[in-house]
Amino acid sequence: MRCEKFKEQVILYLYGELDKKSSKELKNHVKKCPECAKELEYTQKIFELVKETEKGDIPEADWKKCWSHINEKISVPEKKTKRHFWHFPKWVYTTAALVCVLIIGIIIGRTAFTPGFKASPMAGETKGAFYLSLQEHFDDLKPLLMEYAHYREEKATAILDKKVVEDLLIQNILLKRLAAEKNPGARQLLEDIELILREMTNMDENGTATPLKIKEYINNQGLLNSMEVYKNL
Amino acid sequence: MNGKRVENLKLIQNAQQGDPEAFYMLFEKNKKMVFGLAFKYTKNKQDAEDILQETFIKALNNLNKFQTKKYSSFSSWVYRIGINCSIDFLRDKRRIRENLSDWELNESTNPDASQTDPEKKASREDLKKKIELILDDMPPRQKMAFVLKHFQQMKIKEIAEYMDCSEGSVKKQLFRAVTNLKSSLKKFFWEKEYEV
Repeated sequence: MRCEKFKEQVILYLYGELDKKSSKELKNHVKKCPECAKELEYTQKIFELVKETEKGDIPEADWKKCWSHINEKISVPEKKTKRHFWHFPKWVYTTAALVCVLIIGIIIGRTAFTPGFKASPMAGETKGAFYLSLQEHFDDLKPLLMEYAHYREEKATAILDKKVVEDLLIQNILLKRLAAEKNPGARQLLEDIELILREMTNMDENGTATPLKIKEYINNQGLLNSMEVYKNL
Repeated sequence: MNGKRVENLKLIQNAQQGDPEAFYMLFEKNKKMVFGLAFKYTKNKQDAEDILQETFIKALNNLNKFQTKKYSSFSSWVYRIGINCSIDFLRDKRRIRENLSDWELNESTNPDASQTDPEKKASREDLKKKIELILDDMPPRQKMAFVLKHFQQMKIKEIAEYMDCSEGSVKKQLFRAVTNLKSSLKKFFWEKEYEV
């Protein structure tokens, strides 16, 4: 019990935040207790290692870019002073959006799930909706993949918005799940695309070799052509 | 009141009245401090830049709430915002990561698996990497308390003020963090018998 108390105090002692009386008590205890002495030594070693993990040099940020992003926001309140007739409170937009989603949901539900309805000659009841989503997904993907497919190192044109890529990745994973039931060919294509999207999300700003790898993969697998095939279904 | 403080107060007043030049000056004076903290917290330049931007956008939006009587200086006020933005940023980042892994069909392999092999002898570099991994996994507030203590050399009282909590709560966070580190690294240490 006594040692438990000292174990906590060891940390404060090493931080230099233990009062004089408790420090003296701890020192006396450590002289007599080899276990607590070991604990003190061990904690000290850990603190030394932690200190070594601290990255000494803090890099220079891209101050200009940071300021320009902030500056964009500075101009927003000025715009707000002019109130137009189409500026409604936020809840109006939210309600309108919900109503739209509801209406679209009802329409899709009625058309896709009505008994006897056939979405397309090649599809089951919900297959049409799947292909529609797939085509929309490929539309979203195309500009990004085109950019990488035409990437040239000397021009370094590939620009990456990680949030967009992460959204596309989630969408891709969802569709891949659906494709497992609907179309194994599409599933294979989506798996290839997922590899690329993951590579993009893992890429840091210094990873100059990666865009070339991505370009090579897109072109070798003929991904853009395969996507076109599904788009024309 | 010294000249520098008067100058700062004037800048803040001008910024509060919507003078972008004055706000830019405040950004210039405090950008390195906020970026330094964010970088030590995230160990990633891009993330630290995002936090810096978010901090100053929040500061700008709440500039009218800044009271010189309540806070000792604009720097400490903006630093406090920086701390909160860093914690929120890490929370959001982890949420996205969790969502992504929820959708995954294939089981991901643990990248740390090779390093936790007890048979493998740990070098000093291995231990440092392990510490970095443990820091990465700490809950955001616990990690912030740890970073402020170990990398910013703050007193527990200061950390409590910046993080808007009690000293007891900071101590608890630090104890948990250190205990976690100690128990995770114990096996590596016993193998080396303190040779590292």
